[in-house]
Amino acid sequence: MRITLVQSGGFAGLRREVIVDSDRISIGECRRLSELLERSGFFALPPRRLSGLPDVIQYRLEVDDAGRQHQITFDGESCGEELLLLIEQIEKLA
Amino acid sequence: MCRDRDHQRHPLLCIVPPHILQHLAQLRDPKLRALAENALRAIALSERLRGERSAIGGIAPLLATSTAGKQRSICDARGGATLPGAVVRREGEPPTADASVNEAYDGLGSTYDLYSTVYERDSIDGRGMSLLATVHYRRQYNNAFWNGRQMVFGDGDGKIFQRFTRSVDVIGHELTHGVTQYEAGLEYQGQPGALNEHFSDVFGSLVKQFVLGQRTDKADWLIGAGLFARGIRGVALRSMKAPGTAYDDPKIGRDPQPAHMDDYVETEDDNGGVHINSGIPNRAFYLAAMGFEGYAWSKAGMVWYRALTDLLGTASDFEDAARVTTEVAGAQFGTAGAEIVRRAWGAVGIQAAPRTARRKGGGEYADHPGSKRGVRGAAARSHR
Ligand SMILES: [Zn+2]
Repeated sequence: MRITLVQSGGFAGLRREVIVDSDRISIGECRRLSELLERSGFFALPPRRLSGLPDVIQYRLEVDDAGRQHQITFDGESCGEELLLLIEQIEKLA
Repeated sequence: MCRDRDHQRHPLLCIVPPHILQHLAQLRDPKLRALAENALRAIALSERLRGERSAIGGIAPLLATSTAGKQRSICDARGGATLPGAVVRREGEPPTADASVNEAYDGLGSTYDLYSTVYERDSIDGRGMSLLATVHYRRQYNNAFWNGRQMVFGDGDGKIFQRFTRSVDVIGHELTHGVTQYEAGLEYQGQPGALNEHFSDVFGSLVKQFVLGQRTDKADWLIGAGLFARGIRGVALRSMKAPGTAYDDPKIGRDPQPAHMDDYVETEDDNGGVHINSGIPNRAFYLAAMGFEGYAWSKAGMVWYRALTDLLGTASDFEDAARVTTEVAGAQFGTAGAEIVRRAWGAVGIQAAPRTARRKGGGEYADHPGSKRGVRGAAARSHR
């Protein structure tokens, strides 16, 4: 499994890219990521969901997992807490 | 609980016709009067959102007299994500022991004062809307934003950022997003989005200059000075004077802002680079302010304020902004004024082409009242 997360925007406008390769993390960390991906319904989420609000942090998240591939763009105010937990977990692994 | 009065449901709104509301708004009973005034405000707002300005003609003078001046409320989310959170300081109350609360309170006050004193604007909506800010949003949250109703400030993680209330220009920036929402309504994407960011940086910086009583040549023209945590190499988040030079740090990278159209950044991130390409109009404003000399809020600021509130529309781009600010400068400060603004935009690679020339070239903006796109027409202006 390969995860690419790009954070942009926010008041600061900082850009940050994090790539997580499941071969390079522990099994426990990988299971935690898979669980959060399932809980957030990631693979069924629409490709683009933005609130249009100024200065909210924008995320582009791409996951490639055993033939399943999906990319979504969203922001911190247009998504549920599960997705934010997933982001937090990915950022921890950076 | 601290609640935003302006965005609650109005029980009078659905059932009582506007002329009755006007009558109710003049009654002695404060409860009934407040209810009617809020309902009238909601009508005025919905009319404006639909572009049907004629309907509020009779209500506008009443609304103008129903405002209460500066009305601030600061709330505390206590590390949670529920907005607005518990109210911790209301208008007129003494400072608390919490620096974030007091900075937000003072910053809202300074921003209100600039708009009120210099531009004769009563609050975000121009009709005395109460100002609401929440501090301590989430934990170690590295951001501040405007959620369409209120300002929200994070504490920062202490590694990259300190609390976002530290810079008064951040507060002016966020509140100006509210002003833009009620006025030009610039959509938050691509060039209109970069203009939206630009206007927030302009008036954010002007609030700081206004508070410090600084002339154009004494101002630092920085956005977010003092926000970085210790150890981060940078003076601020953005520089209007020299876009692209505010920071260069191994942890957060280098300031990506261009200062000229030649370096315009095409990207799908950040809503099409709204915080990046704003560097181009930001520098144009700095150059215009330097050209006018004196206090930036008085001439350059006035020209930009008129453009934002009377002329620009949801899909306006950089060329539209260059053209209308040059026109306003000409109308207010004569040929010399127009020349200062035209040259400022020219220096960043944007030509303030006259309206007719753009039409011939197949300009994409629609120019008629009620249009959601492009530059607002003369008919729309006449209702203001
Ligand atoms: Zn902004």
